[in-house]
Amino acid sequence: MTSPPFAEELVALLPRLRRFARSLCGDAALADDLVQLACERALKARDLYEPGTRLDAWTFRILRNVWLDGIRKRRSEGATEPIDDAFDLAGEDGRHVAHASLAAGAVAEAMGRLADEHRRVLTLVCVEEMSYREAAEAIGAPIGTVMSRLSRARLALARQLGLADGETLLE
Amino acid sequence: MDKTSVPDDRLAALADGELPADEASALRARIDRDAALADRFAVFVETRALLAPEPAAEAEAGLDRLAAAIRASGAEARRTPALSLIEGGLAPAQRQPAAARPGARPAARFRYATPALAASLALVVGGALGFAVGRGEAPGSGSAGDVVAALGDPAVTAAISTALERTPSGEAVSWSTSANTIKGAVSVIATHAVGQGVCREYEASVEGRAGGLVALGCRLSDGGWRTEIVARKAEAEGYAAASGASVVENALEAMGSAGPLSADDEKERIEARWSRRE
Repeated sequence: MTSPPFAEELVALLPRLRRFARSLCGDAALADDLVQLACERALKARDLYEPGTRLDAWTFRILRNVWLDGIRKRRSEGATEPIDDAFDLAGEDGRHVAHASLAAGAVAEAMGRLADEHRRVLTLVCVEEMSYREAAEAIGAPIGTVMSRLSRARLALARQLGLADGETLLE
Repeated sequence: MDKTSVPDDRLAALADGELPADEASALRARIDRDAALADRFAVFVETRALLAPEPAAEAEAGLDRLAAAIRASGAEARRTPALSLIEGGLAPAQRQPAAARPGARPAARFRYATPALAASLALVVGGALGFAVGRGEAPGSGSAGDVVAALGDPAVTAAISTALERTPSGEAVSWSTSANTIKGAVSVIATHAVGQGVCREYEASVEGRAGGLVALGCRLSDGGWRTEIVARKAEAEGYAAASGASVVENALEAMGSAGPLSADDEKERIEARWSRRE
C-alpha cells in the first residue's frame, strides 16, 4: 500500500518547508519544530485543501500562522512560557488553519502583471538565487536600487496573490 | 506599531540572507517580540518561498523521519493524526512474509501499485522513531531508537556521504561522534543503476548496539546523495530481519533496477566520480 497522495505531496514539500521555516525564524531547531507542527495542522485540515491548488502555498501559510501564533502567544502570556507550549496552544484551537488557496498559475500570472523592472529583480534574486551584488551587476544598477525594487516588487506580488494582509482571508 | 521604524528593504534583506550577522540577529530579536513586524517580515519570506526552486540536498538531512510519520499518519485514513505518537511495527505493505532469503538477492516479488514511491523522498519503516530531527538526541529508549537517533549525527551523515561517494560495495566507513562517545559504521551493500542515475544500498550500525538500519541513498543530479529510504534492520535474525532489506529491494525494483551492478562497473563509476560522461 502506498500512502495517500496528500501525504506524499506533503512529504515532497518538506525540504522547502524547512527552508521556509528557517528563513522565518532564523533557528534550525525551532524551524524543524515549526515544520512538524505545520505538517500536523496540514494533516488535520486536509479536507480544507482544494485539490489542484498549490499545496506549497497552502502549507507555507499554515507554517507562517503557526509561527505568528507563537509570537503572539508569547507576547500576551509573558515570556516565561516555554516556546513549545506556546506553539501547542496555538495549534489546539485551530483558529488559524489556513484555507487560502493559490491556483497553480497564480504566481506566474501575478509576476506577469508586475512592472518589468520589478519582475526582473525578483527573478534574479528569488528564482535564480543571485545575491544582491550579483543582481546589481546583472541589471547594471546600484545595490540600493536592487533592494528597493525587490521589496516593492514583493509587496506588489503579495498584494496580487492576496498574501499581504493574509489572515483576513483565512478566517 | 512598527510600521515606520524598520524599512521594507531591511526586512526583505533579512529574508534573503543579505544582512550582516549582527544586524540580522538584532532584527530577528525585534521580530520575535513584535507580531506586527513578524507579519510584515513573513510576506518577504513567503514571496521568496513561492518563487524559489527546490533546495539543495543538504537542506534535507534528517527530514526522513518526519516524512515517514506523515505517511504513516496519512495512511490512517481520516483519523486525527498524532505524529509524535506513531510507533511500532511495519506498515501493512511491508508485512508480507519475506519468504526464505538465501543470501543471494531474489527477484523482487511484487511491484508497487503506483509509481509514487520512485518520486518519494524517504520511507522509514519501523516505528518509535521520535522527532529529534537533526539534533542527535535519542528519541526513545532502546537500542533501535539510539541507532536511529545517532543516524542524525553529523559524523554519521559525513560517513554516509563518504561511503556513498567513494566506498566499494562490501566495504565500510567507520565514524564516531565528536565527543567520541558513540561509534559505528556505514557499510555499502550494493549499487544499482536506476533510470538515469544510481542508488546505493547501505547499512548503518552503532557499535555495541543491536539492530541497525538498512537504507537506500540515491545520487542527485547536482552531485549530492539523498537517502530515499531507511528501514530498520531487525535485531534478531529471521522474518523481521528480512523485511527491512526487502523494503529496500522492493523499492529498487519499483524504481526499475535490474539488479546490482558488477564490481567492475561499480569501480569504474566510483573512479569517474559517478559521472557517466567520462
